[in-house]
Amino acid sequence: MESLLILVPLAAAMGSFLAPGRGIASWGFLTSLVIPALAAGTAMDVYQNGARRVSLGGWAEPLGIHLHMDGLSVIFLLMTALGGALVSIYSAFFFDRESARHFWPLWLLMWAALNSLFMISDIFNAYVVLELVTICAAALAVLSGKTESLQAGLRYLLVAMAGSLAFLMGVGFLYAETGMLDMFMQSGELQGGPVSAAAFGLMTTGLIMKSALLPFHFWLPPAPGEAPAPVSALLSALVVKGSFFLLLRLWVGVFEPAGITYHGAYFLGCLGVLAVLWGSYQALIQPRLKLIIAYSSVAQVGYLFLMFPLLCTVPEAPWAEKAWAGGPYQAISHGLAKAALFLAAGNLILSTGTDRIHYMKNIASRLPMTTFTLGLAGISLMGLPPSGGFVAKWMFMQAILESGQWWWAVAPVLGGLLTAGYVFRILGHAFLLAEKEVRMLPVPFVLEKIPLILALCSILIGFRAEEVIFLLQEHMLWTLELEGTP
Amino acid sequence: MALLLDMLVAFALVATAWRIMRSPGHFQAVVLFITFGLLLSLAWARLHSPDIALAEAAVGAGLAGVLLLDTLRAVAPPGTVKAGAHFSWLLFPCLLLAGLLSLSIMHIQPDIHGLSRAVAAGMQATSLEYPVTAVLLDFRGYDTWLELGVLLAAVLGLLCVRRKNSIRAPLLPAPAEPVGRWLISILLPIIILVGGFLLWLGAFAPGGAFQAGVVWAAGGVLLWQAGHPSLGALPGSLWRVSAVLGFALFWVLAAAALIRNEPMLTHPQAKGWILAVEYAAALSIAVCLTSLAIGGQKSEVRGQGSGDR
Repeated sequence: MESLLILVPLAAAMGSFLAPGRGIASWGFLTSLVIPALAAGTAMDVYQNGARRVSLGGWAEPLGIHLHMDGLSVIFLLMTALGGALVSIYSAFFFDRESARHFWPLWLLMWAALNSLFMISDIFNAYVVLELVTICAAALAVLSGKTESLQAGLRYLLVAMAGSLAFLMGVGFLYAETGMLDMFMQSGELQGGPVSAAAFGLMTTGLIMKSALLPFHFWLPPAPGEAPAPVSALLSALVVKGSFFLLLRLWVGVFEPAGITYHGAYFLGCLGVLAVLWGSYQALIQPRLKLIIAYSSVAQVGYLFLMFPLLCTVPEAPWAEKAWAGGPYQAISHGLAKAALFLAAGNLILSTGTDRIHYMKNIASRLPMTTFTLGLAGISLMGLPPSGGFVAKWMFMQAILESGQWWWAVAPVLGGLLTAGYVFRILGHAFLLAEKEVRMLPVPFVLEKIPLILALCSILIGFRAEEVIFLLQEHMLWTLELEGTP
Repeated sequence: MALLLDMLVAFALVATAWRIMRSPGHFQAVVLFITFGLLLSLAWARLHSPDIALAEAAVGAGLAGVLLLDTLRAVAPPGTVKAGAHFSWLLFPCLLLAGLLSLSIMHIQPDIHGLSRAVAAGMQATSLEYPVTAVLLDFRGYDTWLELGVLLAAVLGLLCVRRKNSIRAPLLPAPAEPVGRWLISILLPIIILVGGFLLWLGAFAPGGAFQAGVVWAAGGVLLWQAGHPSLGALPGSLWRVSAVLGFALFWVLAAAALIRNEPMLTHPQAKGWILAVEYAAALSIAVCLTSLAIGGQKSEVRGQGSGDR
């Protein structure tokens, strides 16, 4: 089952590369029907039987590479399956033939790589998979062929490559210290000396560059801001989460047991708070809808980094459970809401030809469905109940108050207010009446419904908190014992 | 004596890197970068890693150099002087970082075995005789498979940037002077032979798909520079098939295991299986790398704007 999550998109990628004819979109369409079923099957399996590992090529640890499925992986796999499938169906109706030829092979390759990343176990394999994600994402970012998008794509590629190299060097240090490459076997082997510290610093720096945390956020707004709508959705919702997932795995699984995360965790927390405030403020003053949404990603990614000071400073903290559930929740609900927002923005551009919010007048009566989508996704971003965003922020707030590290509360409180500010700014313009009638093209049926479904999902996952928390707390597997001596 | 040589190589590496940053012209920087790649491969050879040395010389110095020179010709006419970029403020942070990393390297236990014991134990179960090839194709075949995917993604990205559907590049004028033509007609058969030899060697000695693929790619680029369409002569569908072949065979290997109800990528330990995948991979690597070098050229301007949608 889990192998098919990688094999199916790869087969479709090869198919769409070899047969780029009229029916190219059907490769993506079929994949988007199969993958959610496979992901749900994998999730059910883990939910019922607990965490599981598969050895690729039949080579046991520590020699071979493994796929590792536990609660955390399954949640991210489900998010990728749901978001990816809906964006794929949207793309099947969105792209013209010329762009579709370039879009499908790249996106399907990237989908397989993302699925593989969420089942990662081997740190060198993680580097290879991240590389595949990065190159596909950079190529997708320049899909529109405009000069601005080329600049944005190149900027992303350079930052992400620098991040990859830092990560790779960290892999080297980690291997030198532990003599193994499987992260679930490394956890007990780190000594916490200078070698561990070098690995820790390099890998963290590399991954936060790719996750667009504050000092390295500068690639995030332009790249999705200039790309076609489905690509923006994929970049903001899924690609950024990939490197965050890896960072979380490494911190909680490998570095925290070695006791070297204390200062780094506070530092990342501070960067996260700054990212929330700065990203939200920038989103408030942007003139273009897509840039508002893209800067909002900078802020929403910032929330994720609040996990680290809550999880990795005090060992066995009683509040860790809540922070541990809040982060993945934030990742999923942001992923789905952000995809919905970008696709809705794409519809607006299709209809009016621009995404400057000053021209966005009277869309509420002309495109009610799209306006409704913007509103729903906005609710999840703001964290109003009963949305997924609410569950995430609520858990964070509880963990923050219990831990006594009250200063982190600045992020959810002020960030929430600023988010409300830019969401209402978008909606406010939507309800204004235009002085003179602007010509609007009708938006095809499917293109209007897909973002709505995404936005609804980001609200509805708020109701399934119990299962998610169960997966995250009962079905985790962090360390492996090796039989015999290594 | 050996120590002296090592010191010399290390010093030359740092000095070349410094010169690359300080060089006034782009062309000079690129040439120095190629030199840097060669020195680096020397360093790998001194570290008893002939496989990496071969790959570094072929990719880092050879193919990357061609790509850089091609790019240079496209973006900066000859003789342009680099705009005054000053990195002097970076000097102190870089030195600090280098110092910290060196300090960490000092603390690495000198007697680590890493996974070499596990590899030695695994060698009995695999049908390959050379450990490096066994690691690349068997123990960690998944990595190699995805690396082929990275290469494929790079080619796809190139097509995406250039908005082309296949790899046709504008023809260069054939070199008029007889020496050039003579050189190519001599070199090409040798390149094919050397590539094939490296590929065959990979089963039991340093060599293998990547090295062979890069050598063949060098042949493809050379052919194009001699005024031949090179890969562009292939029909589009054949080009697509050969670019994806290695990746596809790996996929078949992975999926076949599922049919036999075994974990993905498990395969019967017969040398033929693995070598078939390796040979296909070498072909695809050669095709992809050649495509990267010659496909980046702007296609001829056609009647209806080929750059726009």
